[in-house]
Amino acid sequence: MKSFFGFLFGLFCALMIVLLAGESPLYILEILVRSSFGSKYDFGLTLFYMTSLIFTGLSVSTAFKSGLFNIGAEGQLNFSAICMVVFATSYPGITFPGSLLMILLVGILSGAIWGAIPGLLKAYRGSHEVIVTMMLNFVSAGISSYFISQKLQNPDSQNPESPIIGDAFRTNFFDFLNKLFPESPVNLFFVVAILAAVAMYFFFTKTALGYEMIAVGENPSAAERASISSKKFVVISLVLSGVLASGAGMNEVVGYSGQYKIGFSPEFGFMGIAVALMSNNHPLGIIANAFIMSVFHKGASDLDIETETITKDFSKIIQAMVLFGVGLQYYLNKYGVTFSFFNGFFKKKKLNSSGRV
Amino acid sequence: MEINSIPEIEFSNVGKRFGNVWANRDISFGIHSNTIHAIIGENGAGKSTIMKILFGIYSADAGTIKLNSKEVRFNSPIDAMKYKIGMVHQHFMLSPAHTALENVLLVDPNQKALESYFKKDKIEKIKATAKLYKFDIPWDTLVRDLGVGIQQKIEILKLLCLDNQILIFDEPTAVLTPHEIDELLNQLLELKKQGKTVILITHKLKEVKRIADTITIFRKGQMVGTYPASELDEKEMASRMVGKPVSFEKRSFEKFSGKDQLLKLDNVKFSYENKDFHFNFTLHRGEILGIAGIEGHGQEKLIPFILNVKKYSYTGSTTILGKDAQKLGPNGARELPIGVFPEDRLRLGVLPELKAFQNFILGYQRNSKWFSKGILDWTKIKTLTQTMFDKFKVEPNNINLDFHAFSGGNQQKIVVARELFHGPEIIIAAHPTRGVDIGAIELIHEQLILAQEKGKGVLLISSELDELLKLSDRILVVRNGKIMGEQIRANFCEKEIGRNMLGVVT
Repeated sequence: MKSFFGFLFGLFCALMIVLLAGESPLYILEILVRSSFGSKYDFGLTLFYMTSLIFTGLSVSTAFKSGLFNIGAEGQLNFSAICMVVFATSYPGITFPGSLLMILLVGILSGAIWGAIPGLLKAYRGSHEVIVTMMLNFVSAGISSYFISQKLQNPDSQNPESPIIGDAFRTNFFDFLNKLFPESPVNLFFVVAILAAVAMYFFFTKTALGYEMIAVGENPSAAERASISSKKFVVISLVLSGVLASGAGMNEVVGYSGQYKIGFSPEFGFMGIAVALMSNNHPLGIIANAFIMSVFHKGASDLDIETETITKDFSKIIQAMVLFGVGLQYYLNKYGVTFSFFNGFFKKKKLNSSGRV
Repeated sequence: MEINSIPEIEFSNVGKRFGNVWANRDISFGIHSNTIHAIIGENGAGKSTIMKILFGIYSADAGTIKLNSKEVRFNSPIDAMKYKIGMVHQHFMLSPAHTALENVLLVDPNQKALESYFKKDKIEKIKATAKLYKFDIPWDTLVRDLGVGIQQKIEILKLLCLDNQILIFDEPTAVLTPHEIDELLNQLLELKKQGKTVILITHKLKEVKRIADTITIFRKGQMVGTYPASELDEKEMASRMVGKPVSFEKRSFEKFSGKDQLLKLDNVKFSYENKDFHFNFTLHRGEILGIAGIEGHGQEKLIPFILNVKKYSYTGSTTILGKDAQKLGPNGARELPIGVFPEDRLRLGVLPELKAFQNFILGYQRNSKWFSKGILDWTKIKTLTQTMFDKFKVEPNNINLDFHAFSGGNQQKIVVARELFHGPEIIIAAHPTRGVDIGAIELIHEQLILAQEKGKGVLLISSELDELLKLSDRILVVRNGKIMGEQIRANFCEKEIGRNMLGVVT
């Protein structure tokens, strides 16, 4: 909630830019609200985006906590999605519930592998995780295009996508959440994402392992002195990061479409970076900010259709302004200034007698 | 001293605020021309702040500064330099990749961008200045190859070559050996003789007593008073700095038994980063073993070595609390009751961005007192942290503050509290009072003596000779990774230790 006023301020600035562009801010706001909440279908779609963003946000923030910048969430979710589809199409005979457990295991393992590669390279070869994760994004994109174009074309479609996997590998037929939002893609994994965020919160605040991981991120030399191996935690943290990112792949493949579609992720992995930064890596804040980002993401296409000037690219400016607003709030909080409607703007934090915050 | 004349620099009611806090308040005093004026106070007392205002790094929020009876207001150090005020900072502003001479040449404000800075007349002038003030500088050596003592001289020479009249020194002796300190103090007296005004910010009272003409004492952002140096003795200065009487008593040494061996490095030789180390000593039960040496001579390397012997390949044998260090588990000596005050608190001892109580378990996070089945019991940790905060009188007494929000002395108290909490048999205290105010120094020294009296062993690594002389039963002097000399309490000789530190064998 700390960043709520920053969010409002960012939104206000964004709307001012909209005004300069010659559109009515109120109309834009109306489209945004209608687009995200207008119908059960729309709201379901917003929650679907939110699910993936929670997973990628958690993925990026987990790496951040131990001092690593994982920009490979996109590649990790991609790789796990293609692995799950390849697995399900290779062994179509497995029956429920083993099938579902196996495909989830494949998803988790493939995400873990895609996280472990930069982790191991960083820990034992000193390669920078930013470079490696970025390159692995391209590698996983290449792998999935190879399968989709060479091995796993969907015979019933002109689009670059895989065939649909067997129902035994999917959650559709017992998905209660999906029933609440007919036709829309939101599914059980929304609940899984929320649970994952709560679990990560628990992990970082209550467990010794989480404490040690944060210690490595805060101060690797001090952690080393406290007999916490930073190498070990670089690997653990990136593996965990990869596993969390794979949740976004499951959301699509297992929860919703049952197939791999090239471009199914509108760069959820990179939006996850923004989500993680907006939340200051707080797992519960990620839920809130994933929601905000998904509203803007959902609204972007409708803004494009319904207005003259607000194209999809223009929507990115709106998103960026909100991000700046939240960032500004974070900066102000850090230096002891907080907004509050009740105490007047820019009230300084109370200082105690010895003068420290 | 011309006490009755008008002061060269006059502060009247100067104040400086950071946020809601007054770092300086109602500061009024004068500094007379051609004197050595010491400004003393505990860490965070505001002594550096006032000088930074004079030097234009900060601007005052209240009051005025008069220079030769004219009111001045500096918005940056460049303004201050125009009035011939110079400052030697605690951290030197030298280019390590240039020679000593180049570093001095580089500061010329009239230097044109595309003009060669090697000009004969300038070089001659610099060398003449150095001669005048009796500076002996190896001109053609790269600064990175020079010791801190010489680097400091270069720094001072830079100011002199700009014809500065007023020279401010911020804790100049913090990094020097006893011999170098001696030399610097003589140099300062020489500067005074040549007509300069020297302002010395320090908390080392001995030095103040030796050279200062006038003393201004700061406490908690306010001025206690300005006194002629002859009026105060060290004890009186300390009491006025702290605001209460300070005991300078030395501890008793009767209980030293010297039989049980807690830690034994038997002819241990190892190499690390192309440097050779050779240690051969024993720490006994009930003993404070001081390790003296110029910083960077390998005495600090002892700590990671003892903590994690297995990571090194070495000859000889290391025994810790009766166990062969080779046979310890993956966490090395950390599994044994050893408390460590790390040599660099912020870098090696704590997580500065986390809260105090979170720092309280670093290194002990899997201790059964608060850890079971993977889960940390934060309620218990907080309670225990609070008891230690009360015991060690940490200020502010709030365990929920971020660690970096505490002052240096209180940060160190938290570290000391953490390391002593588990009742260690061996305490390795590296620079335990560096950057720590007098009140906290006393408390930390008390704790070390208490541990010694209880029969623990303390390995005290320090570059403060006074501290070593005050506390140690024995002192080893380390130079270039080797033990150069050993002295026992009965015949401590400061000069001899100083000579050993510099590598002069007698």
